[in-house]
Amino acid sequence: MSESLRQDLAPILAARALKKHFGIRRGWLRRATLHAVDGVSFEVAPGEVLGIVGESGCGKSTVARILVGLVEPDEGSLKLDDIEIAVGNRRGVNQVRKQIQMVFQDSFASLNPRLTLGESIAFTASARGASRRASAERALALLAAVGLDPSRFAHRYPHEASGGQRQRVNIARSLAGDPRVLVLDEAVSALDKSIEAQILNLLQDLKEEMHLTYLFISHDLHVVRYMSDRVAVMYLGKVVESGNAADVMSMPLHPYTSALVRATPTGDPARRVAKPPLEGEPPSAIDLPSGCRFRSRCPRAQAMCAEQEPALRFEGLRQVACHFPL
Amino acid sequence: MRPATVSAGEGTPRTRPNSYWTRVSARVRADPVVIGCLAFLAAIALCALFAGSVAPSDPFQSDIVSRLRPIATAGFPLGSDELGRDMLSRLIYGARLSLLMGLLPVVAAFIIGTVLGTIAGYMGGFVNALIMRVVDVFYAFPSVLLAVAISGFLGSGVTNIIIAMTVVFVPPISRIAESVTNQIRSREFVAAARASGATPGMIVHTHVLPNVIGPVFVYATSLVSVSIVVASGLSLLGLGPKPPQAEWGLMLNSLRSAFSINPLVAALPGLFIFMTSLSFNLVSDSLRAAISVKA
Amino acid sequence: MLFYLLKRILLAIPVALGVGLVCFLLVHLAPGDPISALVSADTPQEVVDQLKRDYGLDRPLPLQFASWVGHIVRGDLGTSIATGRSVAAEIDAAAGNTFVLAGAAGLIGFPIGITLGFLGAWFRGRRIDQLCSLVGVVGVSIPHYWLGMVLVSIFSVALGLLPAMGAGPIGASWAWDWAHLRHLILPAVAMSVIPMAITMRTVRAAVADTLDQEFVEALHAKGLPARRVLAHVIRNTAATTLAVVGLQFGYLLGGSILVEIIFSWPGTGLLMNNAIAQRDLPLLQGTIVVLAMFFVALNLLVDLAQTLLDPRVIRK
Repeated sequence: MSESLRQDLAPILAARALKKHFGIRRGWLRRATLHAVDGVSFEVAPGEVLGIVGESGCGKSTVARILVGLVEPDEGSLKLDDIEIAVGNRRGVNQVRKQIQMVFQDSFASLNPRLTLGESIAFTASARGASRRASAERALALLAAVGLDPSRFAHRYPHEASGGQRQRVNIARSLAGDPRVLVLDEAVSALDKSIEAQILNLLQDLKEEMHLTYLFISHDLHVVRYMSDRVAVMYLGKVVESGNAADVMSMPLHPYTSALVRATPTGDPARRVAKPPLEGEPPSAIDLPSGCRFRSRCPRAQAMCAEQEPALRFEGLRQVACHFPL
Repeated sequence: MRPATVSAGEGTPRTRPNSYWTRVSARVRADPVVIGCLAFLAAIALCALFAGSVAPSDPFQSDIVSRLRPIATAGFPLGSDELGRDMLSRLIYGARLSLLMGLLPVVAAFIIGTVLGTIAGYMGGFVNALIMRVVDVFYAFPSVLLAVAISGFLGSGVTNIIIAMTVVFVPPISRIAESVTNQIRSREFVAAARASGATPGMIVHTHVLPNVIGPVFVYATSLVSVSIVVASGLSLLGLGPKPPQAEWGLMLNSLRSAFSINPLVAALPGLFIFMTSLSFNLVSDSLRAAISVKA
Repeated sequence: MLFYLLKRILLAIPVALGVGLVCFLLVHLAPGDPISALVSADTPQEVVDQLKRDYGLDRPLPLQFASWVGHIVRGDLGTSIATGRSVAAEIDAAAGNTFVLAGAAGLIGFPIGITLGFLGAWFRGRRIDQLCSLVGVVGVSIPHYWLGMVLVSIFSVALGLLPAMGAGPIGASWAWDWAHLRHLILPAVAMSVIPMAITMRTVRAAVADTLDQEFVEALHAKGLPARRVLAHVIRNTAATTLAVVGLQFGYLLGGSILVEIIFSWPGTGLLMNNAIAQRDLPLLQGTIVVLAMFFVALNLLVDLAQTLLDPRVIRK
């Protein structure tokens, strides 16, 4: 589907100004607030893959957890097909929320070591109300769908399978409830490169077969560019740039995105990076700098950047939060 | 209960089940000392269950003339007690009450403690604080003191000892259960289960409990020996069954004055308490070693 | 740090209150109403009614508890039914004896336990370790009252070396002379075995844990002399060792009853036993309160000391 066609369809998932703060204790009596997610908005069209990139600590995992309901946002709205699911634990909301499922990064920790692989998948199916028999059959079918031979894998325990195989099981499990949206939180980051490629291909096949929408979260730009149609770049709890994946990667508008792209090894020895594109470390999400969050590391920062925080605004088909975009 | 068993149908290659417990029991079974202990405990258990058939004489049949006969006297294979009753028969019958008072409290405390601890651990917050603070108060007593206190006030009797010992054991078991539940709760597969929309009940049932029961069970087995020793000790104090009942602690008490006359016979009930307690400890130690080995 | 210590002290107060509440409610466990449990059967009715008013038994339970706490705090633990003396006085006489017994048992058991535990861990896997482990598991399983009886039959009856009962010549109070100390030996040994074994197992586990840590291997590889490793081990295991010793000492004090009755040692345990036999519930309750409160205080002390020794111990 072409880019413009996708934009015409109503978004399946729409997040507006999501905020999540954590109160933390510093030393004895002082409390501080960790601004994990500080006003994040995005939209995802049906059948699309939205990539979310950023360094660790930028809040992308918290966003993922908000999406599947493991964390409740303090403010903001999240709509699936225009139904609000961000707040509350009411039954109707829970039913809708189940249409978003997640695949976690640690394939081993995501599986109960006491259950066989088949049982883990079946549990998710029966959590949606299926009978024991139907769950068992569904589990076998899903194992086959993710490329694992059910007769060999259904009885195995997590410690008897490799990382790639376990991740396939996790994917199968997330599909057990017939979701429409899949959140992949660093789902391939812990795998060997060759396995990673297989899993990515599997994900793409599944997306087409089952008409899924993906949110692909990673810190690895290559993988994100490969998988995503559009991408959102996060920094310290906010989205700083978003747009078509290829465009954002090849022609970044935000200084941070540009630095990220330049810092990513390309495998081309001719393109050596003279000095690190980004200096210093990200400021802590607790003591945020005034104005633009990135100004302390930005080579283009000026006086205005310290005074006023740039809002995310449109530049053509892209969105950028910068006073002086590239 | 496990979720739907997924059978792969025809043509499945037969593999040995490699679940957690098969691996643990395989390691335990490899230890000859443990096998010996289990055999001994099985023998004691059989005595307790089939005392009527196993005991050679009537444990209540007293004959003052034959009091305190030494071991290997005719008609008294292990000697006779201060009222002329056959020691072997009384020891066999005694196993019933001694084992009952030792095992039942641990079983009851295991059930109660696991439920309390798991609820407290999973729900957190106010429920956790409420349950655990009450547990802490009882935990603040030395166990023998608490046992004596409760049975001292309730009055003597086997039931009261069982109640007292159960109260003594619920706090440590609850603590272990709560601690383990807390660890399990933060594991990623529980988060994954929550994300999949399962109800807390289902999650606790399928994911939390099976992982909690293991460690708690192994801990509970280490309490059995303490329970037997303390329960028999309470019996010694007169808080247990009344004469002429046969129970090891009670027998030890009534034979106290006989120590100067026939020490070997007088020491027998205590010896049995010791051997039973030792066997349970050896088995429990082996279990603990078996589960702490990484798969 | 100071704040944390203060916090632990403050947290101990509700526990102490809870313990007091349990002790207070114990009386209500007894069959019959509390007053009949508190007085002997032939007390005239007016006296019973007066007692009811004194004890405030016609008032709601929380108020009763409050007034009971008030009495306790002032040192008034009630009056013994059997002897008529104040419970506090009875306990006072007995507590010292139990302290001596527990102290002696600890003095025997803890050093042996720590040494064996350390040896077992240092030579782990070898025969010494297996021997120590055997001692440990036997010690933990042994019924100490039975051991006491066995010791008596060997050393008192058979060999006539040591006395079987009492804490010294009749009528004399405790003194640190041989006439008294010879009475202390057997009961102290009998009581020392279980704490010795538990201490041994705990210390062995802690020391083995520390020694197994990878960076200890690294230290060895760097040629660090055993002395320094030793210092490191001691630093890491001091807190745990202190905890188990403290806890076991508390058990010695609170759980001495079974050994005391075998040896007729005139301590709080024997006092409780007599109280049970005579249904002297005020005495029983008073003794339990004192011992339990002492245990709470001991736990708090151990907690504080642990924190000072090893700040990593700080829990939420």
